[in-house]
Formats: sequence, C-alpha cells, structure tokens
Amino acid sequence: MSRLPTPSPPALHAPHTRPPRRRASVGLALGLGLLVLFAGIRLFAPDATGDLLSNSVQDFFTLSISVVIESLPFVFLGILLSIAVQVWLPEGFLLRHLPRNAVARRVTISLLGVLLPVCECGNVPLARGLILRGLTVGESMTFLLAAPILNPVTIITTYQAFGWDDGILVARILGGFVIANLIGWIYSRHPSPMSLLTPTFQASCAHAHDEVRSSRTRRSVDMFTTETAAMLPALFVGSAVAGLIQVAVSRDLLVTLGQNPVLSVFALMALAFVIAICSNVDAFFILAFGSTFMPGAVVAFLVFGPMIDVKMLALMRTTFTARTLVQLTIIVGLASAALGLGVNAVA
Amino acid sequence: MSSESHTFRRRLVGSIVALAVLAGGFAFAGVVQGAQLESGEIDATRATRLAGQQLTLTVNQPVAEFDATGVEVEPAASVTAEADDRTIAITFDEPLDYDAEYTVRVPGVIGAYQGTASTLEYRFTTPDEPVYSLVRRSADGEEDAVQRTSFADPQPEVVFTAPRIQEFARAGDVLAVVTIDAQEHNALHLAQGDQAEPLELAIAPELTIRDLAASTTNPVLGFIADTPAFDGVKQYESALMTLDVSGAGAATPEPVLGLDGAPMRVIDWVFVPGTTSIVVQDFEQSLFLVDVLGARPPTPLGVHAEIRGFVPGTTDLVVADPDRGAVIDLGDGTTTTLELRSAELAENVYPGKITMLDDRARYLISLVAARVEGGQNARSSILAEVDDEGELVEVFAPAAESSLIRDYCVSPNGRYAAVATSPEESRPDGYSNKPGYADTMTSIVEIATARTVLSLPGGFSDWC
Repeated sequence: MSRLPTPSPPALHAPHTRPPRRRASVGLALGLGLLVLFAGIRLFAPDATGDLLSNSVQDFFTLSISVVIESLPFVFLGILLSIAVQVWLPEGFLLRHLPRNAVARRVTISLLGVLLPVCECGNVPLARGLILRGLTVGESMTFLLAAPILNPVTIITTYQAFGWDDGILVARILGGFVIANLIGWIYSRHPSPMSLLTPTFQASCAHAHDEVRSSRTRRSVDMFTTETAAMLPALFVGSAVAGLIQVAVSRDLLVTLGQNPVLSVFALMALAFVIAICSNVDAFFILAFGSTFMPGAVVAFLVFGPMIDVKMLALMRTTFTARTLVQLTIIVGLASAALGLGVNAVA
Repeated sequence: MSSESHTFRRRLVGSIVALAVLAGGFAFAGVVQGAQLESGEIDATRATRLAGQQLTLTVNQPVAEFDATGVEVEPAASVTAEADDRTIAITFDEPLDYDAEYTVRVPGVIGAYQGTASTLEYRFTTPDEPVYSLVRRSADGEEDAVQRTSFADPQPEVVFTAPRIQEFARAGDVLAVVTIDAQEHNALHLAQGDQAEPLELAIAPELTIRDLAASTTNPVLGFIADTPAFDGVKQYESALMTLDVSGAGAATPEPVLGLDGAPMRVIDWVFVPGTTSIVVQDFEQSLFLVDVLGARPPTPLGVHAEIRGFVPGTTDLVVADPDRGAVIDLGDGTTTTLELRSAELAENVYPGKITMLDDRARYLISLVAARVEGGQNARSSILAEVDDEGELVEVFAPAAESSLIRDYCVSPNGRYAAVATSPEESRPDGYSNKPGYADTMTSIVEIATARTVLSLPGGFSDWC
C-alpha cells in the first residue's frame, strides 16, 4: 500500500528554527535573484568590462569555469544514477547479483563502469550511493577508480585519439583495471572500514538503513538536494584550485620536462593532477600536445588523471578521510608511475 | 593490534614498497636505454623528383650528439645530416630511386637525458613511377595510342587512343593529350586517373598547340599556342599558355604575360622542378623566370642561345651559347660556366645530344659511328656517360645493330634514360609537329648500371 507524500516531519526541528518550506523558498528566491543578477550583468555590462581584469585573473576564471562546465553534466548524471541505485533499485538487488568470492566480486565491480558510463566526477556520488546500498568501502574504491577508465565512452575516445599506437589504449585499460583491483584488495582487509569515511558520511551511512517513511519520489528529491549540496561546493573548490595551479605553474615547464623519459612520466602525472580534466576527453587533450610526450608519460597521464586529481580529491574528501586519500594517492601515483616508466622502458 | 590490522598494514606497506621498487627499476632501465626513434617523415614521391628532400626523424628526446658522417643509406645515397632539438634531418643530395625500399641508419645518437649511444633505423618505400610512351600507328590505318607501364608492373597498357596523336604530357595522374583531326586542327584532351571518358578542353577555334609539357611536381601544364589571323590580327602568336589541372572541373588555359602585360612570344620554355615557375625564352633569345601563378613579375636571366633543361631534380638551369655552356642556379642567381671534358672519339664518331647529369661535369651523350660496309654507308649509335675525367662509359646500345638511337631523355630523378630507337631504314611517321619514326621502341635504361629495366613500344617518353 502506497503512502501519500508527507512533508518532512516538523518535530525534528527546534521550535525557533524556520519551517523548512519557508527556508526552501528563501533559498530558491536567493538563487533566482543571483541568476537574474548574473544574467543582468552579462546582458547590460559593456563587453570591455572583462578587460579590467588582468590576463592571469581572466585565465583563472576561464580555466576554472571550463572544468566546472565540463564536469557538471557528469556530476548530475552521477547523482541521478546514484539515486536510481539507492532508491529505485530493489533493496539488495546489486549485492544479490554480485559474485560471493571477494576477488571475482571486485573484478565485477571494477567493470560496472561499462554499464554506468559516468565520468570520474559523477562517480563520487554514485560510489557514495553504492556504499549506502551495502558495498564495502574497499569495493566502492575499486568502483571509484576503475569506472572512469573502464567505461565505453573513455575507451572509445582513447581509441579515437591513439588507435593501437604504442599500446597506449591497452596499457590504460589494463592499468586502470589492475590498480583499482589492487586498491580493493588492500582495503578489503582494513580493520574498520567505516573509519576510512568522514564522520558526516558515516552518519548518513548509519541512517541509510533506517526506515524512511516517504515516497520514492520524495526521497529522490531529498537525495538530489543532499548530494548536490555535498558535491557542488567540492566541485567549485576543486575547479578553482585546478584553475589557480594552471595559472601559477607554467605549462612550458611541464612540456620541457615531458621530453625526458623518466621525468616526463612525473611531469604528465603532475599535469593530470593539476588540470583535472574529465576522463572522457583527456585523450584528446593530451593528443593535442602532439608528439611532445613519450608514450609512457601519456599512459601515466591517462591512468593517473581519472583516478586522482585536485577536483577528484575535493570531491572524494566529501566521503573519505584525508589520511585515506593520502594513502590512495600514494599507491595510485606509484602504480601509474611504474606503468608509465615500464611502457617507456619497453616501447 | 588485531590480525586484520596487521594484514592491512602489511598489504598497504608491501604494495607501496613493491610499486616503488618496480617504478625505480623501470626508471633505471629507461635511463640506461639509449635515445629512441619516435617517428620518421618523408614525402617519398617528392624525394623521387627533387634533390635536397628531407627525411625528418623525431627522437624521443633532444639530441645531444650523433655521428653525422656515419649515416648509412641502403641502397646507397649520399646524404647530409643535422640535428635540431628532437629531430634529425637527413637531406638526400640527389633524387631517390623509384619503387625502392630504403633503410636509413643513424649511429651514435646520444640523447639529452639518456647517456647511452644508440643507432636509429628507419625504413621507407618510394612510390612506383609510371612511364608513358606514344605509339603512332596511323600510317598503318590504326589509331595512335598513349601507353603506360611502370617499374613495378612492366606490362604496357593503352590509356588513350585517338586517330592521330601529336603529343602528350603527364602532370601527376592527369594525362593531357594533343590530337590532330582530319582538318589538321588540334584538340586538347585531359584524362584523370583511370577515368573512362577523357574531357576535351574548350580552346579557341583553330588554335594550334605545340611544345606541351607538364610540371613533374605541380599539377600544371603548359603549351605554346598560335591562332590564325583574323582581319590581320592573331589572338595568340607563339604564346605560352598554362593550365591548372588541380581541380576536378574544366580549367581555362591562361597566357603567360610579359613585362608589358601582353602575352609573351616564346621560342622555348621549361618548368622549374619543384616550383610553380617556368623559364621562357623569347624571340630576342632573352630568358625570363616567370611565376605561373603571377605572384612575381618576370625575372630576366640574360640572353642565351638555347635552353638545355635542368640538372635532374634541381633548379640548376643548363643553357648553351655558341662558344660555351653555363649553369644558372635559379636558387641564388649565380651563373657558372660549364667546362665539360670531351671524351676522345674516333674520327668516324659524331657526338649528338648532350644532357647534364650533375651541375659540374657528368653528362650523357648520344654518339653515332659512320662506316662503310660492303660498299654501303652504315651507321650505328650508342648512348654513353662521360664523367668528370672525360672517361666515356657505354650506357646503352640498340639490341639490333641496324637500329639507331633517335632520341633520349633523362628521368626526373636523373637515374634512368628513356631511349627511343628504330631501325635505320624506318620511315618518318609523317607528323609535321613532333615528327618521329615508324616502328619506334623505347628502352628504359638505368644509367649507373647500363641495365635495360623496361621496354615498351613507341617513343616520346613523358620524360622528354
């Protein structure tokens, strides 16, 4: 028997706080007001207004906004898929269909990206949803790291950019798969997996299995609000950091380093970390640098970037503790470097 | 600490150490390894037509040093090499052979980041070259034909037929043919690739065409045009017309204009290899360098009696005057007097056409020996190469002693000669413009080895 949609229980709120409906209206009005303001500035300000800013500031805004614009559709797609998994997938559906053997289970999870093609930016909300649905923290990391590479869009764009040249495509796919499973294997034996998560997210995990007495639509809308509120600030901060570093660090320096068989690998990993580009398009980005970089460096860029970059760290910080992220970064970094150096040595 | 905690810590630290060792090992291997070739690039078609073409080898790091004098090329070709940042440019001093697989080895390459010397190796194949000839059979009541064969596929095939063909030229895959109709009027046909129906170009009525030729590197044709006088005025009189055949549609021939803006009256002309320029000789024997696209005004090159063509693959123009020959380098405008060593010839041997093979002293010469046999005059001919010492080496002699060399031309890469021969008793073929001999055969001879590599019926090779 279905229940009628019920408003959020007012009992949860202290008497002196504003009713949520009113707060929502204020928020909406504020948002619309800002939108009108920005549209007004855009329409009525003279074209030359932008010239008042220095080149570096203009670059900063252009680069930061480009990362946001590029990532935003995938963040929303990830949130929607996350809601679909959490709210609309029957309880236990995912867990029931995964193999019981831990290794086979992680391998299957690392290939989930093929079914849920989301850029790495969208994977964080989805991974959060999967943890709430009962996946272990280690397994969710496997998904989080593998899905941006092992998904059809990334594979096709990488093939379009490089074909079978220098084994870049194969190294990227295998590298992503192995690293994601290695991380899953390591964290599968963590003594208290919940301690890897931020206290805020732990709390939502604790409530995840509480009986929620509201309709699926209502829960979906609530979840959309929560996830958007968690993700968007992280995305904006991450994009701003990415923009800032790109303005501060000369790209020429990175390109010069890119010609050294050893340093090139680290230079491109640093570039991947800084520019925080989506995995669906990163192959074309690095192809544009032409033959400046060695194939191993390109592989390291294409493997490390989707897993770890400033924007991803900011997004992942909503879920994982700083200590966990440091460990994750070290392992993924070393593994990507080994892969890139290996490709350079063999190629 | 629990055993779970132990296992996790062991896996975490173990993985980090293992990955660090692996990365370090690969980094060491990468440093110890020498510089490697990333890619190579050459316009192989152009390299068979022009000297000075470059093979660009891109190395995976800046080149600190390499053995520029030790560069090896197979089959042998003389090269110069220099490095700039990540590229090594190998310049071929002469045009390359057709349909050949080249291997270039660059030894002693030391990169900026990897101290070990390595040898870079690059292979490429040059394209096959079609060879065309004109078979005149109208005297036997058959249609004339343009035939094509090639180094890789020596079976001749007919590519164009018409009742009477005066001449033809080839620009890339475009074949231009000048035909003669029953009223002795010319028509110009263009056939592209294996196009079944050649296009007949609209030209002024009763336009007479002669000296048709094509650039070996650009899709441009040229010919000298004359129109009959109407009311005492000729629209074109010995005007050099050029025709851009790069487009798919019908092009219009444009006259080459002189300094006065009127169509130039031309005695002789020739395309400058590798450019859109031509050298023309006007009725005062003045030579001009003219840009077909009209980008520059005509440049005077002095007064000379005769244009003798270009040193193969270069912009070195060979000219002749009654007292001497000279080479004009169109690249820098310098003129060098040619001091050719004459070979010692017997009294009954007469020299014929001379073609320079380089800009100093090597040349080809056709020789005719006259003797009396059984109370009758008999002639025999050979094609020979004369080197800078005046040493004469036979390159070609007709298989049948009774055959004579009627003409010969050197290929654009300077490595082959197309030699037209016909029996001594063969009759002229009756064409007033570009006359030839009946029963002509063309042999393609490799100059360096004196080996006949191809034979095809007809004469007037497209190299002429």
